[in-house]
Amino acid sequence: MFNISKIIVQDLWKNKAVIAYGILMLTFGWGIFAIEYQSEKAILSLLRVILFVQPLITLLFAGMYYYNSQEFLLLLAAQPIKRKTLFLGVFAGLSTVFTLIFLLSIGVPVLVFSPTVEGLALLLAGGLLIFVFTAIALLVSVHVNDKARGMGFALLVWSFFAFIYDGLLLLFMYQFAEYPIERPVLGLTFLNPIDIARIFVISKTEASALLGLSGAVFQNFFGALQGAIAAIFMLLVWASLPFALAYRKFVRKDL
Amino acid sequence: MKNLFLFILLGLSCGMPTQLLSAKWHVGPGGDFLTIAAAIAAAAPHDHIVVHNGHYFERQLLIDKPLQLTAEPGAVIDAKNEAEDIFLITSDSVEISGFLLQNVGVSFLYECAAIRLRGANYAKLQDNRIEGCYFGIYLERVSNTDVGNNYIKNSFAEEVNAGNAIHAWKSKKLHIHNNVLTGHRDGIYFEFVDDSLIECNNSYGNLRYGLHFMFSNRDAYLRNIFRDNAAGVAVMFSHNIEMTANDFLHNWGGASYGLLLKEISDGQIRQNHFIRNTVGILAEGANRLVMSENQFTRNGTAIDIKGNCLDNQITANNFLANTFEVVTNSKHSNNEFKANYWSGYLGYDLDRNGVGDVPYRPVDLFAKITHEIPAATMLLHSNIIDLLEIGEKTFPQLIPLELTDSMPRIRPYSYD
Repeated sequence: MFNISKIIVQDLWKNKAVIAYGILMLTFGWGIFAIEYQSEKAILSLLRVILFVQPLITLLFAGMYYYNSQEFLLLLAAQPIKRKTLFLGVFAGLSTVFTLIFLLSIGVPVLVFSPTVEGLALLLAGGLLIFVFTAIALLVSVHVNDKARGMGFALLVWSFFAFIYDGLLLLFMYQFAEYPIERPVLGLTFLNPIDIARIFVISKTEASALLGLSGAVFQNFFGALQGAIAAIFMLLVWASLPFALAYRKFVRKDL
Repeated sequence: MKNLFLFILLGLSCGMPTQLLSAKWHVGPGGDFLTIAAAIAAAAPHDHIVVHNGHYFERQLLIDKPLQLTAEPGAVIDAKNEAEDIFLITSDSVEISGFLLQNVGVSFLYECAAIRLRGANYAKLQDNRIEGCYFGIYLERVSNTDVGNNYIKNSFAEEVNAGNAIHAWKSKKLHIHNNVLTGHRDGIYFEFVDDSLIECNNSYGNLRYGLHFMFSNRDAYLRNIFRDNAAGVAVMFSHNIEMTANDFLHNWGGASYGLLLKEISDGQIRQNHFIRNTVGILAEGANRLVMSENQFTRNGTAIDIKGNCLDNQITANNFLANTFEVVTNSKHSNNEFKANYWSGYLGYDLDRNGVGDVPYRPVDLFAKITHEIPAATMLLHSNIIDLLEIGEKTFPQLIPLELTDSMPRIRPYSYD
């Protein structure tokens, strides 16, 4: 497994798209702290990057890489290597590269310029999102054989989690505005990893706006330790569930 | 000029004999008296009583003649939690300084205080420490009185049982300065108090307001710090209040704000700092106010200005990193927002004159949505909200059209 991961990491490290993405993230991470002298605002800007750009790139790139290296995987599968090892190797290689880029471009500046609770929450949420979206990307690519369709589907998944879900949530809230919907909404946010990560970070930063009558419900939940643990746990579930499903499919698939 | 000379002459002729004739009495073991009450009873007007180191279990000390009472370090007057005043001053020109006054009990029938002035003018209350007292200093029909450098502390748990640190009623021309006030209901409470000056006080950790005005006119408060109170300052039903260079810090909670303005008019709010409050300024029925050169940093909502506020001028303020900059409950705006710096402003300045070329609308759609559905706070910083926001800013439909800053600053306003 480690050998496969090592090969994949070495391969990715030379990939032009990865280099471009790395440079983009480095400019974001270091540039925002250079421009913004208020670290809390910088954290919020980085939150946008983590919730918007990073899931998109992770999804598209991981999916694309899987499709492009299908022949390589076929070759390896012909060797006496277990499918399990092969799949774990691919997943580990991809997530290692993304995590490294994330840590270098956003992790280091946050730890240097704003080593606060909110900064650490941001890093934790961002790191977990990488695993979530790598797993989802593999799930999509393993299931959809056609590259174009697979990529289209990945885009759809991304836009669902990034926009559509929240739009539906807003619609739901408008429809049921007369009812005490705080708790149902709280439950519904757990069905979207981006929402979990967002609220987890915000509950550590801008508590003031979340206060108020219904904000108190969220604040009590996410601000407390058990809420933080629940959020992290749910993100882990969101990473492991697609991973397990993709793994199941990959092991049985006719490559 | 001739009048002035006469006045000075008059002052000298009146002041000198009393100064020369005033006696000095010592209270304490080995002094002239053992109790303060005995010393007060024996003293002639304008005498000076010095209270020496020791514990005095006395209360209801009625001062009905002009006296100067000073305490040596270590002089403590303890009311033993009885619900009675320690000092009750009914005479003009009394001076009380340097005491440690403690343990005035709570009563629901009588608002007992460590020092109470009733119909007394020209008093000086300075350098006292007042701890664990129901009310600290209570001013009733008082004028021209100086309350400075006092430290008033209590640790009340509930608002209903708590008294105010400095309570003034139906008074005028007070000067309240450099006091530290904490753990009471209100740090300073003004009711029907006119022409007074409050400066350089530090009011923190009070259960209700750091400073509270009711029906008080032509007052000023300058350079005070209000931190961690349930709400910083409440100015209600008052006119011509000047509020300058105060710090409103971290007034935080479900119903908290830095400054509450209710039914007030013709005031000035200048050069204050509002940092980390749930709501910076909450204005209801506030008219003809000038808010300028204030700094709003990292508040939940910087200004919540209700639709019944008219003709206010909000100019040259800096709004930095607030979650919501301006919130209102009306589609119309009868206030003028001009030349402020908004950190949410994304416009440009082609002619480089420091003024943005595109007007700025500080009320955002999300503020309006959360106003209607509080549960929508859940979607703060969500991508969908950002998208809607962009659409709304480009083609305004729902947010108040008139509430715009027509000449937003490109760089923050800098103080001298």
